[in-house]
Amino acid sequence: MKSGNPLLLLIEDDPQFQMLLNTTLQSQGFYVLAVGTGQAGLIAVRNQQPSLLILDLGLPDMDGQEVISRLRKWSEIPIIVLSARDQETDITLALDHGADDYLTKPFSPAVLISRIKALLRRVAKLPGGALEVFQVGELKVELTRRRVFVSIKEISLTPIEFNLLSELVRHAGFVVTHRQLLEKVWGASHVEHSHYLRIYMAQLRHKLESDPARPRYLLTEAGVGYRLNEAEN
Amino acid sequence: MAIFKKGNLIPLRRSESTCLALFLGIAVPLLLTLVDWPFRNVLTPSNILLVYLLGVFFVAMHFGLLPSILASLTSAGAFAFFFAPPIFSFAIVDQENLMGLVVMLVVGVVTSNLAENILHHTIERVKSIELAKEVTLKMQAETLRNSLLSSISHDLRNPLAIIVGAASTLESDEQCLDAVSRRKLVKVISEEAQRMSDLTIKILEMARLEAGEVMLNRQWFAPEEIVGSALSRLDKQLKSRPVNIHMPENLALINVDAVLLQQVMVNLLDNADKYSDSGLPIDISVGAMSLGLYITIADRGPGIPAGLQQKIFEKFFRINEESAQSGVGLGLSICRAIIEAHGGEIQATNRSGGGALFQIYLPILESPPSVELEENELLL
Repeated sequence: MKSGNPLLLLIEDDPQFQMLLNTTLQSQGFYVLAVGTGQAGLIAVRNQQPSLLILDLGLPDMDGQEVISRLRKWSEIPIIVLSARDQETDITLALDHGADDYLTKPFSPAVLISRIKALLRRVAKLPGGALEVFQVGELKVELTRRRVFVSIKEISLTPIEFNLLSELVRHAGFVVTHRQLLEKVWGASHVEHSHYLRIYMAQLRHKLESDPARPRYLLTEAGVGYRLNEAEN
Repeated sequence: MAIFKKGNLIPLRRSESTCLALFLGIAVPLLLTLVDWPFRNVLTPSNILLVYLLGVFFVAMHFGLLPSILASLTSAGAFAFFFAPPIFSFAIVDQENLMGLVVMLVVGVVTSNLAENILHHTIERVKSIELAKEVTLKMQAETLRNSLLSSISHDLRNPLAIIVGAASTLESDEQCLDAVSRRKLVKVISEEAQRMSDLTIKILEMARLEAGEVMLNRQWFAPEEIVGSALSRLDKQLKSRPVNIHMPENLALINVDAVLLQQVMVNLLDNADKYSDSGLPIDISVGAMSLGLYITIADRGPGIPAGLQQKIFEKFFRINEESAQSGVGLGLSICRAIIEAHGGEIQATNRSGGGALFQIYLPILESPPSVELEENELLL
């Protein structure tokens, strides 16, 4: 663990937006280093070792997607992507390239801060080994014993249902793309078969949610993927 | 672009059709010869000439001058050889038959000229109709642009004026404002900016749909998930409102663009929420019907004024122009554009007992792909 407050790197070319995020994040006790180009960002990740990267996908010198793929060759730094609202394909691509989370503009700074904190928490937890028990609301998942409970009632899941759920548990609080889920649960040959995912997700919701049409745990991110709610609001 | 295309296409077609026309100029009289031959002893030569005349007339009407002359000459040759005594010789002894042949030639030329003129007039007329259409379209675009401008200037300028005003008051403040007024100003800025943001998003979305650049990203989705994702996007807004959902289990997957369809649901739910008191329920029902899926969203608000059931789907139409809760008048037009892009329909009616009812019908064009289910073993 680093001593003191975490350093966040912001790659964003709009100076006003830089200023806004800078002020907001500093008020929350983060140190912020802001750069305006992808090239400067890549250098800063190497030299300054920030704890987290906030990356705008539209940069003047290179595509944000390229920044992510280049970084992922040698760095595990958590990445939050900022993008326009109607660009689900860009967002999905960024996540598949290795970004950890995304926000669409315009977003509330409070949401950004809670996402940053969640990501930093996850990184801090990781070295302690895999998560054993996950709990949110009345849902409890025991990963190694492969058991699932809703309040005190044990729920029977099929192997695929359980694998799907545990994949979401491993990324609890973060979005997992359709492609990532299909690849992890069904294998690389099934990445285009999104209807498998819909059917099994519906089955899971009917077993775990009290009202499957208004899910509390298994949330849909339209056009992008699914997110397991980490903390019930 | 279109003009160049035409230039390329027409000469090609014309040369092809000219060959065909010339061929028919010869073929039609020969065909008539075949038809007439069995009756050569029944019909007089002038009767037969009349039949040939009919053929020439036909060719002239449809294929123009050159083929009609060709038809006349072929007819003349065939008539002289097969029908005019002496038979099987091109010689013609009868003055009357000779006269008939000349008349046939004249008729061919005159008719083809006449036909050409008619065609010309028709083309002119079609052109002028097209021109009129173009003008109407331009005028419609103009009206649209004007209503867009007036709408934008009203809906964006107002919040902008408030934001600029409040921000500059805060900026130039030299500690004269107390904490409460400062907070008020900041709150106004935030609310108005949010409003502007919503409107801008709607305008951009409509522009995108209008420009026809939206390709549907159709995938197989559970109807339940589309309703659910729309509801969770409005989670905060609908927190204290009862929402009843009627939906059978095991509805088949549908092949739709889920992001756009979610937008339709969000717009309709947002309207239902805006126009009815917060304690009154919103009812959603989803179900299968013949070759399709229906979704209805109903509220207990004031309903839609009589006669406006169609009009509310028009761009920039607002029931109450000055109402603070009304948006830019694009929400329902966006819904309609999206549903129609899916080949479906959307309608608004009033429900019995009060309130508005929106009905969506989505056609199901193909059945969902099969899924290999895992063996029925459960974990335990």
